[in-house]
Amino acid sequence: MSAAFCAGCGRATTGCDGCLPELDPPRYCASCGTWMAVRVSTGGWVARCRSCDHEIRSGV
Amino acid sequence: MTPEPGVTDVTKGPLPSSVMARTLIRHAEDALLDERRLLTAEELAQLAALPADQTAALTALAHQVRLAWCGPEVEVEGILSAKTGGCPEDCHFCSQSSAFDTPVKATPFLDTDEVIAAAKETAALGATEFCIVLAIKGPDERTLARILELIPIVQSETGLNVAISAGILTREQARLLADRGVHRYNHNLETARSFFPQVATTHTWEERWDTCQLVKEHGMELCCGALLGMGESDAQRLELLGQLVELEPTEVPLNFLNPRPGTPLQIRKPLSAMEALKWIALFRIALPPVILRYAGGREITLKELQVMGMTSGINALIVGNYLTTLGRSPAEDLQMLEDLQMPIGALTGVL
Repeated sequence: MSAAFCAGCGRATTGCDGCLPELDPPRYCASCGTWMAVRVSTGGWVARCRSCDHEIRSGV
Repeated sequence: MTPEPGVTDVTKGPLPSSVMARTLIRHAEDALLDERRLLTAEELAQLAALPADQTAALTALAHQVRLAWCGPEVEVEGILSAKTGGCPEDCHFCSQSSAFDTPVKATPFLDTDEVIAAAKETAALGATEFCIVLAIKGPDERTLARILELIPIVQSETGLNVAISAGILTREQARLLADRGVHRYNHNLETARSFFPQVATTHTWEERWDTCQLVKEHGMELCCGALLGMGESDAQRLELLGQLVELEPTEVPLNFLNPRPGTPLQIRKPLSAMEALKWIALFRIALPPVILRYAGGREITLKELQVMGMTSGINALIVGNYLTTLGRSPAEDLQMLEDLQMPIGALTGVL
């Protein structure tokens, strides 16, 4: 399924080609465009949407 | 070699720049390796003024200095942002400042379990140091209590040395942290005193300096880093080196600006890899006994040349991810150290 929202700025992907820098975890939810609470640790990261509770993590 | 008849004798008249460069580098080598003394500010400025084609000679000297003063060991550390974003300070490079509209939003202090899990990830990679970092001006009573609670738990669960980075401290807070067993306290000067007003306006360079002094006074090792590439001049980098020489930190983490979206410094370009290598070398040459750590921004600045930093004066690194951004894979760094035959070990940075 293609993302509806940009993980770098939260805008609809129809309006942004994808601006998330290469070495950044996702900042916005690809499903609803809301900002995500991100926990970065030495070996990975977890990002959880503050709106729809969608959670993604590194390596998955 | 004696000049042939008709050939200019380089001992008379102006010397070619390459001869002058070799003379300066030999002089620095004598001072640092034989006399075993620090360079003066003037000697350092002469080296910094060498043309770009002398960077390889500078890095070679820095590597010799590192081996002679610190040995071949490399200290590996993991860091964790335990309280992210929402910082009231306006450090112009930082995505965690609430003064700027960045994609990094405020999140609360992590749970103890989350901190322990992150520390265990770090320990599993062979690291000896784990730094818990908070995006705050300084700790309030409740925050300090949480930090004090975490320190012995992380130590006992992982065996790691625990470092803390929690901003500006009072004398009493420094005492409490030292008593609790904090091994190292991180508080960066970031840049020269003369450039600092262009980097942050909500606190002063002098406040940072005072906290650094408090850390040392209370017997914690001082980790005091720099961030290069914010628009400071070479003279200001030299000024900062003079200030670090005076401060005598145990560790200097060397960061390179990674321009963050939404911050005032987002418009700046990262340093070139060769300029970064030159300044890594100059940091080592200026500060021969310190633990000089590769920190944030090395991936985007050095790119494929990251290994060269390890033979230009670096003797420690942050492994894996940073506070809010990602690093290259720990496996790549560990393989790099193995290929370089540089053993991982704890360092003290003491003369």
